[in-house]
Amino acid sequence: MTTESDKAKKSAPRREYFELEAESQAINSSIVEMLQALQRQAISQKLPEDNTLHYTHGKKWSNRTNPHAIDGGFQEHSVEWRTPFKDLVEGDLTLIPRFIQHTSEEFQRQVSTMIYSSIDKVTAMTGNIVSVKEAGSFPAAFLEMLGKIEFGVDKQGNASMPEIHTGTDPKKMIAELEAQPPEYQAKVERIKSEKMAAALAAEAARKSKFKVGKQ
Amino acid sequence: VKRVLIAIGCNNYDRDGLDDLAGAEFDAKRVYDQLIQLNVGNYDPIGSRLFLSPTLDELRGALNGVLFEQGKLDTLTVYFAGHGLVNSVGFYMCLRDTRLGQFSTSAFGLGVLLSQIAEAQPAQTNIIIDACCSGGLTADLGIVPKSVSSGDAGSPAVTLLAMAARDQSAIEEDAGGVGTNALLDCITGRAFVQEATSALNLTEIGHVVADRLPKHGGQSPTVTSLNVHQRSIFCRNPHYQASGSNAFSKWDPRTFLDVIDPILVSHADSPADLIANVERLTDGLLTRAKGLLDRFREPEVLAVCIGALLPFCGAYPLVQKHVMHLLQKISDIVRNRLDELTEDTKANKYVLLCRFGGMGDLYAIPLRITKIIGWIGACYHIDKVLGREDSFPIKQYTELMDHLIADYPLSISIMSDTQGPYIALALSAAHELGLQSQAEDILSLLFRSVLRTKGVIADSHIEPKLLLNYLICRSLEDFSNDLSLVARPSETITVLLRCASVLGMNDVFDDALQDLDHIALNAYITDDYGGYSKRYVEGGENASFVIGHGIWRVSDLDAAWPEEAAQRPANLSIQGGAIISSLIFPDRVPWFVLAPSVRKSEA
Repeated sequence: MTTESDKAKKSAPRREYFELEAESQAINSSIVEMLQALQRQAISQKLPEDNTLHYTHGKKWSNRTNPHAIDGGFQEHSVEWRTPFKDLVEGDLTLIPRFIQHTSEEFQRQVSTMIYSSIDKVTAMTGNIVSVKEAGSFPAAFLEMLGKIEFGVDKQGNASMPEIHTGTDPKKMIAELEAQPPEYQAKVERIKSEKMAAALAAEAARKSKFKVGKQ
Repeated sequence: VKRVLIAIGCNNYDRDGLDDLAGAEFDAKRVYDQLIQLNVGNYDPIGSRLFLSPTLDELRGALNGVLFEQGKLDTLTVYFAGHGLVNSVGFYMCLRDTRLGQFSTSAFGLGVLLSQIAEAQPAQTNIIIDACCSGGLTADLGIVPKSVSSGDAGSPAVTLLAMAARDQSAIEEDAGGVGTNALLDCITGRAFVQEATSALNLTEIGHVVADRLPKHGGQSPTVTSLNVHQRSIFCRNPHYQASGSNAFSKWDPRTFLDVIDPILVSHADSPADLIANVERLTDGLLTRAKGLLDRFREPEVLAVCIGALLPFCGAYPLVQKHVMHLLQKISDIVRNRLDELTEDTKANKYVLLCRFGGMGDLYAIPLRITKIIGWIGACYHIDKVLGREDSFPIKQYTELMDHLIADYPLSISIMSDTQGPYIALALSAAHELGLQSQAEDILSLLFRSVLRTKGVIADSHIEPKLLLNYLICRSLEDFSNDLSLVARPSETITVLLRCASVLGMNDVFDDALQDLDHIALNAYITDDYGGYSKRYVEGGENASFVIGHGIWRVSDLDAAWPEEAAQRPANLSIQGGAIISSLIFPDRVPWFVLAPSVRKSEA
């Protein structure tokens, strides 16, 4: 049987004894700040800060003057961490570094997944996909890849080489490429020169569209 | 320290040229009646004067008496309602015998008043003039004596509120002068000025009066301040109680005491006023505290009241009596909290986790535990002061300690140097109550935690934003780059060693003391517990020790321990007040509680 006073007891808010609100909240806020810094660091390892944009409102964006750019939307990243009451009561201070490390690693993993899945989407749309199997070998696929991509130009007007992100040991891949005959190397160099020249020409054309074009 | 008000209202003009007025005396009387009240302006009713249509000689004579025969004035407020006139020299207040054709000699010149203020040097002067052309008083500012206008430190502060511009009339309505009405609205709270501080100054009131008057048309008040280098008190802030939530949103006893202290200084010679002001300032907060989830906020607010009154206990039996009354109130509340805690710990093993604690609880739980047992231990010591220690609820205290030892053994640890007074109060009370086993268990757990961290505990004054750094350094056992976070010397480790001596645990401690080699210890021992609630307690001595350099055993500390540390204040209200002060300002330890005493079980 439940009496009225039992019900009142159950519904009454829990009593607290010395909340120490300022201290607890300061620690929790410092942890959030540290995680934010780690998240920024995780993103900057994949994307240069220069190419990272920050939005305040809304949930999606579009590039209205670039027909090739795909419209994007914010993706939520979340990490779950359970701290049993028992661990807090036992005063296990390693909880804090463990929580920070776990959260940071999980954010890095999620950021990587997001970046590569976005690249995957774009290449699927543009057909910029190269298959080692179809090309016959990794060096042949590499050459085909170089032929398909466009080089960029940095803010100083210098042609920039593409970044290569690998899922396997890059040393092994580099060794395989370096072991190719001189004709192969010459071909790579020729494509690089052509791509760089094309990138600089495209940059010049882009700049010439300003009212007072600066070369 | 005195606050004096001179209110002048002149309705009657005997000489030719000036018409009688209807409401000037009424206005002066209303202002006087409001400000003279203890809980409003708190001006001295004996030294203050209300003049209704005085002559020039009457006013001059009385002013001399007020300014030069009452000793140093803290605050002088002069209010004038009547005809005002201005010429190229300055502004004049017209009195009963003022002649229009000779007003520069028959009216009371503001320049004369300013000269007298420069001579008498009250710390703060407020001048309010509700008269036509009163804005002409700015002309007088050009001729004020150098001691007023220099702006040097210590030069008297002057704030002037003129209700009409130099070329304007001061308007009167049936309900009084519109300027005075607006002023009274601010004083009584009908007009909102601000809610951040407990007192209002004339400058902020003047700005609100200026904002309100244009609605009546044709009158533009001006506020002028000279040398206002510190916050002055014109009257209490009727809206301050409404800001109780601000006081609690970031509850800090020191900040709260900082609000009360300056107000009490003005009442230092009146014990009844001291008590009345403390009650007035805290009534609203106590009501709110009763409704909070944090069950210890209410006794904390009461403890701040004691902290505010402690410096006056030595001088006034009335204050002593009130402090004893507050001590009993705190003891009653803490006994009730002990009942609640005993009930809650039985029902929920994790009751000491806070609703917004999170990782912060790793730091907070150890502090929470020592605070709880410390406040309850203090309750026992207060009961001794009150002579009612026989009714202390030993059974509940024992049960609570047993629960804590069983459920929170690893959280019974030292995190911060602020835990010292709580441990001293808790373990000395447990010892005297015969709870030796519980006291020994708790002291062992605390000492073990100190050994685990090699005596590295957080400084008493560490900024909250640095607490995470402290916890990370502590978990990594590396403080090489953050030594500023660490208490050096530590007062809490001294408390542990003293407790070991009182509880007879020397052997246990002596075996491990080598692990704390080079740790610096301190014990601040005051020579005046009356000043024990101040931010910085003056006088006394910091008795310093270093483990491994003169201290190799607990008995070495006993041998070097200053005798005066054991001396309890003879005045019981000061003794209780010192104990309470250490609970809200835990960077001080009332060492006298750790003096050898007879255990209850042995008595």
